Amino acid sequence: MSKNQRKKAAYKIVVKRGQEKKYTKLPGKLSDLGEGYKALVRELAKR
Amino acid sequence: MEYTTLDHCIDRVFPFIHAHLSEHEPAPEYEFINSGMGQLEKVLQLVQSDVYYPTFSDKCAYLLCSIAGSQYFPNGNKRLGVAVLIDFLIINSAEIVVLNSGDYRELLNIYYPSYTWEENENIRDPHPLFLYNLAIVIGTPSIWEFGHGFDQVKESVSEVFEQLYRLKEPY
Repeated sequence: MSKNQRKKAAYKIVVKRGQEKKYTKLPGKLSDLGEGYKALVRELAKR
Repeated sequence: MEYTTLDHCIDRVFPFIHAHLSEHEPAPEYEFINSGMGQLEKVLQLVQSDVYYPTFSDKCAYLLCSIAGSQYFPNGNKRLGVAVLIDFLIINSAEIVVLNSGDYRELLNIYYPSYTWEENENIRDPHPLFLYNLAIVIGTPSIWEFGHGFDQVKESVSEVFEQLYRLKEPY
């Protein structure tokens, strides 16, 4: 797949049915991150 | 643009990693490994170059790939790469596109078709689960597309991040 083809395919996933992209933000500090991010650190330790 | 520094790593990134490990999951005392700290400092300085890394996604990809794909420290390199990336996103108030796990899986499959996405019941949120899978890809050269080296992987990670992350104020 060429770079352009990849870009188009990725765009189709991120922008669904012509809707605008919706965005979210992380909390303001590392220490305020949710359980998913804490689990990420723990689970990567097993790899 | 704000940049994560070595002091930031000592003050908050290393403690973040250590705070979320159990006693059975070792992580190095990063700050006492001089060679690793020297390499990490070089990465944190080089990422500030707009010549080498002109866009926000290029900088994010460089941080993650160069640290998570390295052997700077005896272990804990993937964790460190991911934690530095997250810190970099936070200090720049970056926005993350809202996707579900299936979307992330499809996205990764476009770039690394030979990789099989791993579900992980302990990581319930889509974005950290995506970072988990991406860190595995970066740390496993046998998954990379045939003939691809580190630079091509970094470029493809930047392409993915370009779709996912944005700054409120364009850089």
